[in-house]
Amino acid sequence: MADDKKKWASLAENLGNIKEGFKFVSQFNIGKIILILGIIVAAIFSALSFGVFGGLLVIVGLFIIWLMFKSPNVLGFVGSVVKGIAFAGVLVVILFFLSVYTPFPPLLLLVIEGILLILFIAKIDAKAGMVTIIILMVLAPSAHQYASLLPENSALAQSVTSIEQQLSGSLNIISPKRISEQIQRDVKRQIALASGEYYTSRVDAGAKKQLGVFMDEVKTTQKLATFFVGEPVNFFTKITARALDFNVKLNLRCGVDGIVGKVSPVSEELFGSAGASEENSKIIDVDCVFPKEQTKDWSAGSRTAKISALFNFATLGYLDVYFMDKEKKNELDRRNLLMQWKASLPSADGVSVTTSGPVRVGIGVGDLPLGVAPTDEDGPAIGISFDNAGSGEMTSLSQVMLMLPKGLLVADVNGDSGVVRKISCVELDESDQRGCDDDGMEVYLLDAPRTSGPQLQMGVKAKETWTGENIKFDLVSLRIHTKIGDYGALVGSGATAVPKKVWAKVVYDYALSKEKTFSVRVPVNAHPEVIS
Amino acid sequence: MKTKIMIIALLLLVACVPFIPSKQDISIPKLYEGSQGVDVWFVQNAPPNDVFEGQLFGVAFSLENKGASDIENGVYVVGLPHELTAREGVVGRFSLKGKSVFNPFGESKIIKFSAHAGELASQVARVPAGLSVDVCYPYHTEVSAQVCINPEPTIISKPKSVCTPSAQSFSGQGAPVVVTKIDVPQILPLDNPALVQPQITLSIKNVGRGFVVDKYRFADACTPRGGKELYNVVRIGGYLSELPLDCRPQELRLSDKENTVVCTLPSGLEKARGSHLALLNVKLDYGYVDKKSKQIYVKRALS
Repeated sequence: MADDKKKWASLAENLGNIKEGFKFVSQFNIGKIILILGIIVAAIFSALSFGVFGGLLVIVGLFIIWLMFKSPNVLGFVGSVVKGIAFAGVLVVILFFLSVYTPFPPLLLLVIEGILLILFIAKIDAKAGMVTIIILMVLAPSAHQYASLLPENSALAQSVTSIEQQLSGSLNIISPKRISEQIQRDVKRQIALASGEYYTSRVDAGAKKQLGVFMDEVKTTQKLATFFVGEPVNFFTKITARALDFNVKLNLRCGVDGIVGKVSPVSEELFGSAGASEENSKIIDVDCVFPKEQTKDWSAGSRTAKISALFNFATLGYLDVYFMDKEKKNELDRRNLLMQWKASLPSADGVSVTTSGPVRVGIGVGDLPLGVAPTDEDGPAIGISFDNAGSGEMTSLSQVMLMLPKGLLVADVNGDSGVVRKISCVELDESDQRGCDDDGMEVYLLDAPRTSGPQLQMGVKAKETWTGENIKFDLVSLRIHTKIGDYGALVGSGATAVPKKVWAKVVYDYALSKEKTFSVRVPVNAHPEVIS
Repeated sequence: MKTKIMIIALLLLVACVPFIPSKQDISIPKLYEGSQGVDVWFVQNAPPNDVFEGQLFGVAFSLENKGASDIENGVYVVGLPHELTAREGVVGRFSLKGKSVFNPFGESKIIKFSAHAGELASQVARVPAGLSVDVCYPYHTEVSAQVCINPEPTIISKPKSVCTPSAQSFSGQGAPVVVTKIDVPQILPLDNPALVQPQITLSIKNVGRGFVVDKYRFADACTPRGGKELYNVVRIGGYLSELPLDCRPQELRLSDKENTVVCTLPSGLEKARGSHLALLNVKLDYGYVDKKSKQIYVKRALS
């Protein structure tokens, strides 16, 4: 009894060392804080170059070097860190085997082993313990990096992937893949914004509901997502499709690690209605089944199921633009009255509005109002950008439609006049004819062929199959050069504060998918035929 | 008993006091105050904040002359966005009398017409549609003030002078363009030693929320073109004791900084007259442009 008390007291005392370790780390003065921030910035840039993993290694490496020089016994410090990592390595190996051959979920095992590791580290030097924990926190979420080094179908690789998937599922913020993708996308957007290729937009605040196709998380019929070899495997999810006017056709597929499963339904259609009072919506239950005849050939281990939906969609954007006679504009400017005129406008913030959907449309023009003279030939340049704001990927760009104010004509797009053609509203599909008016608009189509060939440089390649590797599409910019067709129509009747709208519509195919990790086990009393 | 009767009589007297009419002065409305000319505003719910596509709705706006000057043949122009169409009433003329003793609030007029909301594009739940009304009209500002003229400012006269020349500041004058300040009158010598020439410096400013335009071209401001040399032109004229003043510049180009006009009396004043109060009347002639905008939303129709 007394011995037990001493052991607990000793443990508490050693845990106190970690407390002191944290206190030590927190004793930074301003200079060191600035230094740390600088390291973080450097790490972000290295993360962009080498991935998040590389960036985190930079931070950790510099921090460790600094701590080492702070420690009075460098060799002893390094030895303690190595000891801690070695113990963690042993625990990880045990974790992998347990996750493969026992029914316990890998995440639970990881938590238990994490506690054991902390107790072990409490016995060693506080600073070294801190470093060990930091290294492990960096390495653990990047488990998928190691999975790529192992044979793809091996139990070890599948366990590693399973753990990483579960961590990503429960703690989205620490998924390196997701962080890296998001950072890269945001940086690309900021660079494009700075260089003038990206045009900001906001979703209409009055839109009642989000438009688009939304997929719920994939669920399994088995508790703890564990199936046995030779038993049917069943996954399901719910897809909500919401659109206003046009038909949305969904094509559904599912698979496990590249093996195609039986999906139901294979396709579904949401019919748009020209006179819809509110958003049409449809909820589709999707099931993915692998029969026992298929699963009996599966080996035990962790696997990843994926349900994917490919659908067509369209997003519109518009921008309020003001035209004014150039001489009048110059006169107002000369008399310092232009700012006063702008301040009286109801909507002149220059930010376009986009309908909701997975792709966002942004439109930008020069400084408002746009001055136009009767003798002008060249009109203002209009910038349009399409930005993937959804969680999936755009697989192809079918069509881009422009509607400009009457009197403003398109000269070329990105310097090419052959890719655009003027049409009238009657040539459009029924759903596109809504709101189209030849008396008040100039309508143009930019056709993008589905296959390769002369087309706009949109950064998107057509795909023949979307179960293969996806081509990433993030941002596309178009520069529309215009010419003045009818000065009178542009400047209007005389009232100076009447906005005219520039519309852009993009029609595209979009692929959305969700994944679910599950385990396959060999049953304890399995029939020999099942195991073989 | 006598005491009781006296108390009752006193009570009755006090009770009757309200019925004795008291003498009250008739208040003369202050016409030359405020800094507005024509006030434009949309009548509530005309148009409504939200309309449905395909809906016919009414638009009404009020033109109210809140200044002291009458308006003849002003112009209004209604601007409608592409989403809205109107069959009539988008351009017109108006005349409104200013504030007067008989009409202390100024004349007003409501203009009405019908508009139609167009169809929305696909995938769009609602779209903003901004209407605007531009009004362009001729206007003037009249300022009267007593200024002290001392023909011999360097001589301390005896007996004590009638007045002391000083600067004066003004605020509202029942118009959007006002004389904000009259400086201390200066006295300049003339060839005739018996005469002096008073010089008065005025500061002028646009205190309204609209734009000042040339009085003779105010209608151009409500057309798409005609912008050159149109804005910020004010013509000045004045009298000092009913003698015409020569104001320079006669056409003042307003700027953001101080706008001053120097008015002199060409005919001069006799020195012998001594220090005296003189009535200064200044008239500013200009055109004025104001606009009012309203943003409504065209929404997807209910079926």
